[in-house]
Amino acid sequence: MKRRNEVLVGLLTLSAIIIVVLGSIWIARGGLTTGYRLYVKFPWSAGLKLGQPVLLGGVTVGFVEDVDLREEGIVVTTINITINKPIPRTVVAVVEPNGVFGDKQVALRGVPSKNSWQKGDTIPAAIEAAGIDALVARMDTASGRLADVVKTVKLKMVDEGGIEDLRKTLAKMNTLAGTLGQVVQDQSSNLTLTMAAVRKGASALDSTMIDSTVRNLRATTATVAKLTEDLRGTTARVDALLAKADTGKGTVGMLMNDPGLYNDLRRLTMRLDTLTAEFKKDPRKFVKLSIF
Amino acid sequence: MSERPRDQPVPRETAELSSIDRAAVGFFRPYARLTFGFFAGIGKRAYFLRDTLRAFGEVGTWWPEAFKHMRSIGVDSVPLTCLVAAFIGSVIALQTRYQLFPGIQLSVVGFISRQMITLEMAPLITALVLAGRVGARITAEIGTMRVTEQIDALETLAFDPVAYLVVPRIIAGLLMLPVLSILANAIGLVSAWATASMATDVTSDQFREGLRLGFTYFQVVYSVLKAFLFGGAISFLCSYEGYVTDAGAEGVGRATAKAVVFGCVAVLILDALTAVLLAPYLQS
Repeated sequence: MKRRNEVLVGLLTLSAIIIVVLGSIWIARGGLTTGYRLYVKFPWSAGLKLGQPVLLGGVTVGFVEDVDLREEGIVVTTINITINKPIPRTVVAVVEPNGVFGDKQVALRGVPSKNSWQKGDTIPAAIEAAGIDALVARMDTASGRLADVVKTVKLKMVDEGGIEDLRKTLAKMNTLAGTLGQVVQDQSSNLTLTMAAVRKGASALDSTMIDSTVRNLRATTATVAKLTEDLRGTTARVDALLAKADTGKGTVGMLMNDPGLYNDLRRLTMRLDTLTAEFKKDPRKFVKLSIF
Repeated sequence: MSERPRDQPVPRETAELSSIDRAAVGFFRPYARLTFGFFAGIGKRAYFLRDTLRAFGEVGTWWPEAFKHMRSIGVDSVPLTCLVAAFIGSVIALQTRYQLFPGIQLSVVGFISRQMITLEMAPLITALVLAGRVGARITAEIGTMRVTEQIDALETLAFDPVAYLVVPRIIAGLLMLPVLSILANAIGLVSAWATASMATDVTSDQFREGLRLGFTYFQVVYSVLKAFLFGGAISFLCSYEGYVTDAGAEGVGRATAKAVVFGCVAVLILDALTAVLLAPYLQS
């Protein structure tokens, strides 16, 4: 009986040890086969953790086995390739969202190639596309700004009485709109009357008279045009005369431009003045009157 | 409770107090007794723990008995543990799947099932079930020996009753509960996997993908450590209640019920403590 107890307890304990060891390895490695390891250097904030799937062409080919945070701003990620297939050398590793709640997965993107990555190689990492995280961050920013706007609106509109002011303004606007409506109504009736008067005046005009007036206006315009033409000819001739006078030609030109003639006339005028004065002083010197 | 019967004489120590003071003393007396009783209970168990640790040195006394109790606590509890773990795993997988709303990847079912079963459910439920099955049995056995004066007889024969009765049970509890918890983990996860794959739209690959997500070996250590603490607490408290039993068969029954309650409460308190202390180290 005692031996039996020991055997049973030993079996149970051994079973538990085997279960815990193999089970942990199986869960951690995704199976009891070891696969092979590749490395990727992602920048910080890649959001990776152990066990996340690694996909090639949309098919799970492995999982993230280890994540090593380095001080130089990179995360050295060990990926375990569990399938017995080569990974083309043209692929690059990208961290992309898995689902809508921020979980991640590593996608190996590229085209098929005969060359393949070997065990222990480091696959280049590519820039990840904007995913759910980026959208959520953008939404967070937007919602934060919206909250600020709401807070400001509340401060201005509620706390500082903006709504009350707005209400008063609206009341005044209503009053103004009523007044304007009244004015428009009055002006509209006046305009209606004016338009009626205009129509009445227009209907009173005699078209024959207008036609006659228009004809007279045309005749007057033609006369004015002829007069203008004559005036233009006269002006041309006067211009020619003036030009001739300016050049000193002809009598007028010589009168206007000869200084000798001017001096002679001055002297003649002075002599006439002297003669007139002497005549007034002693007329008998010049006039001898004898009747008989 | 604080009311004193009219025909009962006033206690001598309060006879000279005014009626208001007597009322105040009468009001606070039960609470004071309760408080003193609480601390006295802790102190008695501390002394018992000291005696138990001292008795660990008498290997020749407890070693022959240890395997018998290991079989009783461990091997005989395997069917019940497997049954409970299988149902727990199945229910967790189903509930997790049907609580997910569209947009969440289905591998989450495997992840949540693993986390719940490994970190919480397997050790906790196993401990609670065994607190009823094994704890009651330990208390009843030791209590009956106390009532029938077999423990006194052991002392007369120069046997250390603690080393002979208590230590093997505590050793068995400490070692077998982790073993049962590991078994419960495995059965629970297999059950969850089978349920998720067969009864829901979660595929086997998705479940396995979630099973791997964020897994660290410390999670297994955490589960085993919790079971180790639970096993020790249950076997120790139940042994104590049996060891201090008196007042005949009725006392044994009362002690058994008390032991089960204390064992369950201790398991829950330890569960909370381990979560508070060790949960930060569980992050992958």
